[in-house]
Amino acid sequence: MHRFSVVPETDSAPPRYRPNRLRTGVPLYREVYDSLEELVMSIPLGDERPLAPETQLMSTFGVSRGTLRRALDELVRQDLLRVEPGRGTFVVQSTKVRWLVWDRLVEVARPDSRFDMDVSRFVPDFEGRERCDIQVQDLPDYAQAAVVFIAPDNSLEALRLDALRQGKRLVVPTFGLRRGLVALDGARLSKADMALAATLDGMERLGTVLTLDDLRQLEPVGVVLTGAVAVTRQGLHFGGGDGYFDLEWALLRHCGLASPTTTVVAVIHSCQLLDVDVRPGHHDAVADLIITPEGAVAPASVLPKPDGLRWEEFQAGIGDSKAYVSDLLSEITSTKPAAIRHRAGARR
Amino acid sequence: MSASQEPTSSHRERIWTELAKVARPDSRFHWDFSSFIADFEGSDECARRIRSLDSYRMGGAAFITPDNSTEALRAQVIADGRPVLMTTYGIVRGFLALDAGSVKAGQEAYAATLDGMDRHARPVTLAQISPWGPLRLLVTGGSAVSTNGVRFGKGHGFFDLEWAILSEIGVVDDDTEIACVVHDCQVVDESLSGEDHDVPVDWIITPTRSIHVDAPGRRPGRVRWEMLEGSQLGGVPPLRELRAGVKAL
Repeated sequence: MHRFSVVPETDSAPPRYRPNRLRTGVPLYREVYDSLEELVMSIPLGDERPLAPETQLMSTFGVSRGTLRRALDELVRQDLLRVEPGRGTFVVQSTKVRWLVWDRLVEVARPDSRFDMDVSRFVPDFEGRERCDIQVQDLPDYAQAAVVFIAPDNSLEALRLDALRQGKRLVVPTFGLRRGLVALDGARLSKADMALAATLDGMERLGTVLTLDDLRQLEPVGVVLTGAVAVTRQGLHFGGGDGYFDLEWALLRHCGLASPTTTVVAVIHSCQLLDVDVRPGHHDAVADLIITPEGAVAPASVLPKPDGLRWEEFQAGIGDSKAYVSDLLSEITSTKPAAIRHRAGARR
Repeated sequence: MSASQEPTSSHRERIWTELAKVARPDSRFHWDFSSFIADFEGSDECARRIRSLDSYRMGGAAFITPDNSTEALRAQVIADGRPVLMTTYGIVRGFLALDAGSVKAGQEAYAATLDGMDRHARPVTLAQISPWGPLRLLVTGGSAVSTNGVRFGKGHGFFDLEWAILSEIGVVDDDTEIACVVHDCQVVDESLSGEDHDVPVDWIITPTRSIHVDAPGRRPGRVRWEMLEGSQLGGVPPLRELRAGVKAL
C-alpha cells in the first residue's frame, strides 16, 4: 500500500463528526455498524416503525447475534437507535435529523475559528446568509426592538453587529451557556469596538455578564433570533452544536424578558428546513418565523411555546461543568438534581 | 542541574491549578486547558518583552501561533505595522498572513483574536510563504516550559510540525529564534528532557522575566511523515502541498 494512501484527502474525507470509517483491519462489527447506519439513514424521516427483528438482521448481514448486538449497542451509544424491551429497536428521529442535516450543512458551512467544519460542535455561518440578514432587518419586530436576544451562533454574528450599530441592547448567551448571558449596549459601545463585540471572542470583554437579577432588571426583548441544526416547516426547532436555545428561551420566560407572544425567528440555510413533521425530542423550542436565503416561511399555525423549564428534561443535558447554568436552574426549580450526567461524548 | 526527566502528570496538575487562578477562559473551550493555550494576566507585558528582543527588532514577519496567550502580542505587532504569519487552530486550514498595514487603526484587538484573524488575514500557501523568509522570530505559547528550553503544548505536536514545515521550505535557519510566552507559573525550574522531535526554545518570556536559554540545541525540523500516517493532521493543506512538492513561484 502506498505510504499516504490511508490519509484522506480533504475533498474526499468523510465528515469529521462521523465515527472513523477509514481504518485498516476494520473489525466485522464495525462493518455491520456502517451498514446498519446506512440502512437507518435511508429510512424516510418520520417513519417510526421498529427495525426488523434481530434474527432477520442477522441473516441480512450474515453475522452472529453477538456481532450484530455489538453494532446495535454502538448505535445506541451514538443515540441513533433506542431499544424498547419487548417492542423492538427504534430510530431516534432527532439524532437522525441532526446527522442528515450535518451532512448537507457541511457543504455550505463556513468554518469556525476553532471547530473548523465540525458542524456537530457549533452552529455555522453559511453561504447565502447575507440574504437572511436583509430579511431580518426588514422585520418590524426587529427594527423596532430596543433590546434583542441573539444566540451565539456564527450565522448570527453579522446580525449581532447590526443590532449594535442600530444602537440596540443585545442579550447574547456565552457559547454553550457556560459563563451565562452577556449584555452589550450598542448605544454605549464605541463604533470601533462593535465588530469585536459581535464575535464570540470579543463579547465578554466588551459586555457585562448578567446574573439572574440583572436579567430581571432588563426590559423585555423585542425579538429572539436563533440559529439551529434544523427547523421543521411547523416551526419545531432542533438545537445543535453546544447550543441550549431551549434553555435560553426558558430563562427568558422565567425572568420575564419574553412572553408567549414574543417572536422567535430562526435563521437557517434552506438545507436545514425540514418538510416532514418530526418531533425534536426532549427539549422542544418553537420558531414563529423561519428565515432562509430563499425567503421566509411562517408556520401555518403557531405551536405552543414551552413556558418555563422542565427540569427533569434538562437534567440529562447539563453537565456539572456548567456551574452558571446549574446555579440558575437550582434557583428556578425547587428540586435539586439527584445526579447530573454530562451529555458531552454522546457522539464520537 | 538535576538529571533530565520527563514532565509528570503532577507537573501538569500543579501548573493547571496555578494557571486557573490567572488564566482567561476560551470563548468556546471554556476552561478545558487540554483544548487551548490560555491567555493570562500579564500577557500584554510578555508582548512588550517580545518586542524588545533583537530578533523582533530586526524586522520582517513574525510567525505567531494561534494561542490565546499570544493574542496581545499579535495586536501589538499589528499596531507596529509589521506583518504576521499564523496558522489556523490545529493547522486545519493551514497558514494565514496578515500583511503590514492591512488592519485599520482601532481594529488591531479584533484582528488579533482567532475570530478576527479569520476575517482580516488571508490564507497563504507554502509557496506564498517562501519569499517571507528568513524569519527571524517565531513565537508560541505553551502549557509548560522548562528552564532548559523544553516546551510542552497541548500534546498534539502542532508547534513541532509548524517548525518542521517552516524548516522544510527553508524560511527558518540557525539564526531564527523561538520565544515561548508563558505565565511564571508555567515555568518548570528543572531540566526536563523532551522527545526527539520536540523543538527547544531560545527565550522563555513571562510577564516578569525574559529568560534566555543558552544553546538549546535545536536542529532543523523535518516532517515525520510516518508519524502522521492515518491521522487527520496528515491531510492539512500545507502537508498536502509539501507532499506534492511546493511549486516554485
